Amino acid sequence: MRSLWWKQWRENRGHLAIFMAWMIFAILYCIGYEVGYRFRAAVGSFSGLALFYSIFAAVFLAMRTAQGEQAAGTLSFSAALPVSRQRMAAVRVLGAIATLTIPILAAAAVLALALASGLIEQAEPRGAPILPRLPQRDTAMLLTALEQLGSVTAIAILGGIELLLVLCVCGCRMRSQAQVGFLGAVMGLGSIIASSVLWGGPERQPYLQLAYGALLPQSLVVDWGYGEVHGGYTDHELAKYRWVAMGLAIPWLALIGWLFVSQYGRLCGVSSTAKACWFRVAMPALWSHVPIRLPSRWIALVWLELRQSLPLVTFGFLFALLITIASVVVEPRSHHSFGDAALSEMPHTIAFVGVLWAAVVGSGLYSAELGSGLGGFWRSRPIPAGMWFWCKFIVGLVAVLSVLDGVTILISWNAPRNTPTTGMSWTYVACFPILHSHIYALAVLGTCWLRKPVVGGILAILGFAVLTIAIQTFPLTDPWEPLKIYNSLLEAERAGRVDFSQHGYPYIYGILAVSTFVVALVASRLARPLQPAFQWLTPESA
Amino acid sequence: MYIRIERGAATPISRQIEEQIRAQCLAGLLKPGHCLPSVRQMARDLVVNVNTVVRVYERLATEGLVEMRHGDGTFVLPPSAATNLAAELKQQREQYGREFQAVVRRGLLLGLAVPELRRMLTTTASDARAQISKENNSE
Amino acid sequence: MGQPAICIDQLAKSYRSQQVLQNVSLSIPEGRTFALLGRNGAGKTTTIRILLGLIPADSGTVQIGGIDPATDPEKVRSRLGYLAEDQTMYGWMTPIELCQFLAPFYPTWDMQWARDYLHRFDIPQHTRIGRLSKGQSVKLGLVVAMAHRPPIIILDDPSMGLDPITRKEFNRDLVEHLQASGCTVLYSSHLLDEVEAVADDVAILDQGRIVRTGTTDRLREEVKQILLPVGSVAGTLKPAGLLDVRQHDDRLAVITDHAGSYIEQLAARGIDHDVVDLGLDEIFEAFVIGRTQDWPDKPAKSAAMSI
Repeated sequence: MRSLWWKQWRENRGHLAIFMAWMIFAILYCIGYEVGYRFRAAVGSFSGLALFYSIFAAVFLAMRTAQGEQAAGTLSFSAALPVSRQRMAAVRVLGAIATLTIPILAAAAVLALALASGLIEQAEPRGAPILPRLPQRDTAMLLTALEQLGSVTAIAILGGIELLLVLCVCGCRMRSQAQVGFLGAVMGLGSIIASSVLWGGPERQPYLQLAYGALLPQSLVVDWGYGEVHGGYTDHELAKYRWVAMGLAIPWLALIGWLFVSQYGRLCGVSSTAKACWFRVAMPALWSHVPIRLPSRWIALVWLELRQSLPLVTFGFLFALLITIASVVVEPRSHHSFGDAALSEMPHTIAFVGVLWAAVVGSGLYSAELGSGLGGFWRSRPIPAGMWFWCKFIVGLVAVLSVLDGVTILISWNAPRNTPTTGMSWTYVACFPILHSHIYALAVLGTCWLRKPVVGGILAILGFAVLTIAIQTFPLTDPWEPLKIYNSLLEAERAGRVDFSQHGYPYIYGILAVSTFVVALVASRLARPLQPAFQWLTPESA
Repeated sequence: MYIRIERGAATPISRQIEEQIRAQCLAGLLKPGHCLPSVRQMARDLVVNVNTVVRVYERLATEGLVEMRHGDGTFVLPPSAATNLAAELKQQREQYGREFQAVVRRGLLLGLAVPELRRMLTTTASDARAQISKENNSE
Repeated sequence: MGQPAICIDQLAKSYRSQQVLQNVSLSIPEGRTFALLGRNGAGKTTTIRILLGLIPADSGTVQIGGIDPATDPEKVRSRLGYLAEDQTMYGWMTPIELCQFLAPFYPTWDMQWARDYLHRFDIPQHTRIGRLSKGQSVKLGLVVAMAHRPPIIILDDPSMGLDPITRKEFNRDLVEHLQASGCTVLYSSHLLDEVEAVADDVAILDQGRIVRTGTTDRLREEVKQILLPVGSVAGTLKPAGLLDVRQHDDRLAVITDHAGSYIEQLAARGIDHDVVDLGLDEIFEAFVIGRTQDWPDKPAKSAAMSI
């Protein structure tokens, strides 16, 4: 038994180190920002950071826990060991939970220390009516602040554990780590949106929040971001009966955990040689019966890329549609029809989902054909690498923009435009396609460089997020943040003035557009050789 | 035509095919005028290299057992003097083998050990070979 | 006799401080079937990848049909058919879609031939490649490699993972369709029995070096095992092409290359010997793991040499 724990420790210590470094860095940034701006909202920003981290770490660790052995090929080996599969699964999942939790606790401890020592202060918790705003509120007592911190920490931990366990259970039935990662990204996004749905209107229903929170602990807290003239702060709001909800959540989580432990490795008999995505392979090949002739090489490549990208992009669109419908159903909309409400909600969802999906499409399109299997296949045919790269890039980009943004613009154009976050606008047309293209190019770069899809896509999103945070940190560069420019332009448009030379739009978005092209050029060079410049852990057989 | 080759055996595959065809010809299983399978067909059935089959046919042709007619195929020839001679030789060799076996048996029964017998063979063989070459030279 | 179909000269490649290929030279004439034999990790796949221009060589020249794959890889690939070891193809495509996709890249693609052979090999045209059996997928790879009627075909361990029956079928297809139409075939394998039956020439690659090339039957004539009494050759008469020597009681089992000349030497000295024919697998073993250090020394007192 002890050797199982030792093995788990050896496997996880690298991840633990990285996560610790990440959270400590994040919390120090948090505290530093607080000391600089004195908004007294450190707990709120910690809440946002911890939630984001817990989702990310949950997806990553779930990939490893559910499919790690299958990926490393050791599943049949460990199945033959004289240890029950349940015990092994239990150790794996407990190891993953510990790796997820410890960094959050460490960061919380640091923040608690900062609060206790008087370095920073926290404002009074936000009451049910949203006024008074945070800057007008009194400073909270130390105990209250610590309780808030404790709640936020516990919520982030439980939310992360829940996502981890649910993904692990689903992951048992999947065929590869990349599929688990993909599902995880979708579920993580879904859980964020699901939890924010509950906090829509001005009223709060404590008992509904309690029930919801027991099933989805992340919904017990919501973060409201406010931008001031200089910098911004996050005001967090907690549900009233959160501790009860968390207490109820624990047996529910234990149940999911037990489900995983009993399921793990059960399906290892399933052949793992199927390399394609299971649902695509299982569906009947209808297009094959249509006789087509591809007269030229470019047309053949365009056909290949359309076949690969359109299903993927359409799936993203449907996902966004589903989220929109779900959010419209849950929130009470009194004066518009269902269709209108859904259509005016679409741009907001697509803008958000599009960032994730552009990265998914970018990394997904390239990852399979860069590996040594398919990569060896197409490279051994007279297909020039440059033609392959650019055709794929352009077709994928056009697919993403036309299906995600294009269709949304067309259908939502005439939907009611009531609030800043609903309805289409010229600003949307001018801003989001460029942003989505940029993320797409970054994901392509990440995948061509590292030759691994999930890491490549994540790096793209993270890279963009870090850049955004960096820009926002300094008052000088703060107004150049792309989303801030979007918000300002949108405000102006709603007020009646459509002018794209304001707020630095031409410069910032121009830079984004040009850098998209530059990033693609770099990626095309990196994609050229069969073997990447540095080997990513796999030995090459002669 | 039935041919079976054993892969990985000590005899090379071409020799196996050759011997089997020759045996069938001499035994009369392959009648004169019978058309042997085409090179491609034989190679396909036995899963051996096309050139190997070509070589076998060529060797059998030089021996006089078959005739390769360009475009028509390869046909078994009636037993000619050459083939008769080959069959005769084979018979004689078999006879010799039996006699040799008898001599060796006798040597063993007389108490000579195998290495001793071998030494005797080597000595006698080299002596006899020298003698035969001397006789050939003097002719 | 024109220039050789494939000509490799002094090829070298190292990989993360490990020398994978050293001084590899081969020349494959047109129309021959050439087998590259070697253990796992000997460098067969690396050589083939360099031939296709997939990876660059460190030094040495390669010419395929007169073209250098490092400078003009697309031209080489349009004249070459290739089947990789455990070939991955687009799992979501169907065989007919794959053929339709690849057609515009090859000026000589023959779609009717491809359809005909898909039918002959019993490959369902409208089933996704991900759902085909291993044997069908290898045969599909062969169809796709041959559909543009290339003069040269390269197969990298094509029978890997196939069951014996499918393997035999594959070899049969190779003989029937490739050799019969005069293609030059380069094929890497370690299934020696099949290689012996099917190949014209072999080269043995060991730890990145070519240790022997030759025609299959001549190789068997030139490499033989000879049994000798120890006393008669101790300390002397070590053959020039010695590959393996083992002592069994009072006899020495010697496997040597150029056996003919060594046997003559022995006969001239009148040394008693037995000659044993070897199978290709034993020959391969001798080249790759043969031990040559244990040649017995002359005994201390000068014993009378047995004549």
